[in-house]
Amino acid sequence: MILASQLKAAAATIPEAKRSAARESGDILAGPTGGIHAFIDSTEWAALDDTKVTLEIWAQYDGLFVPQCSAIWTSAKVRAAMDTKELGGRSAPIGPILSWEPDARMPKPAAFRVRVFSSKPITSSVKVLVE
Amino acid sequence: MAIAFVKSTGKFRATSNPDSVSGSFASLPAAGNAVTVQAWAYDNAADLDLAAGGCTDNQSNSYSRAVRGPVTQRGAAADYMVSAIYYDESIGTPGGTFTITVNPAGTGSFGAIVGVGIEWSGFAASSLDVTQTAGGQTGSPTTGTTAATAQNDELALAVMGCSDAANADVTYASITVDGAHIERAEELDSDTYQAGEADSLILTTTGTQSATWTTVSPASSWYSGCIATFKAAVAGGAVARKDLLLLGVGQ
Repeated sequence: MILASQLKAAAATIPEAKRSAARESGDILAGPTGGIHAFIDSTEWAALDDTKVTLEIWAQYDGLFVPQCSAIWTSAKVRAAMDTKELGGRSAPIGPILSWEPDARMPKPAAFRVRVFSSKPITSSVKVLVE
Repeated sequence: MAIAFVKSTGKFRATSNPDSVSGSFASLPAAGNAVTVQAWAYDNAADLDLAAGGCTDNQSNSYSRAVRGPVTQRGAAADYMVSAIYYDESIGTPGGTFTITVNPAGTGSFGAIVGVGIEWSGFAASSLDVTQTAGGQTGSPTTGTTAATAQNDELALAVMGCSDAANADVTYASITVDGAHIERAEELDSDTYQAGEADSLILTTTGTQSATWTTVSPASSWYSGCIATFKAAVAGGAVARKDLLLLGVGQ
């Protein structure tokens, strides 16, 4: 279970006036397992119509950052998930989380960067948890 | 010629009702090699599906669904899970970043997706051999047992998604697969994501195949599991797409 209190700001934001602009975090050092969770923290999902938000995790190998995984959310579907509150006893969702973890037999990255895009203005921050 | 592991995308996962989730290889797979995807998901509507067209990539390759586990309801709860295995046994020449996307179908409003993509060498041109599925409630989730495989050199891929029978709000203490299967991705968190595991096994003799997992704390789960085996290319056998590319066909 991922708790909001475990997540730390990754210095990536989408300012309200920057429609569709990509925002990228600084370097985030990888933890012992090489895993990472990235969370889009926003209170604006309920006010957004037809807004698509993309979150990407980039991993650094041999000094180079390469795309590792991504996900796309539609604001209405995020709103529906958060309105559902819980399912089968699961905790209420805190919002969109993208996560990645290397195969145990593959090299672990040295660092990560996270990037966010939005099709419409949204005020949010990206928070991360490295494991 | 035996099938061999080349590399993995690592485990990618997303929660809070994503449209889709994608994983990328850190370096490009080789033309003519196979790419497989093992995925599992949950949602709160019974029409949840990892459909036949539920896996794509950004390289114009075509993925077939080898097998899909049953859509399993967790008791009487509005909580459904599914698992599936996709493959393209001979990819074209890739460029840029090779990204696989999994996009479950369904009208649910909660959802989480977990997946892993793997590059393999040595697949036969028509590689899919035998499959099996299983689902329900147990302390030992399984894929069920396939019919006997057709040849000695094959690859078995298994995947399973599970949730605690009593309450989905758990993180499993452990999920362990039987035999010599190699864990390719494991998710213990059934609260934020969807617990489950993806495994592989290189086969060298014919026989029936299955994978069975032991879960610890919780000891009983609802689950959706499936397994598929893929034939290795036989020396002097059918011409693979890789060979055609070497001959300049389809370039």
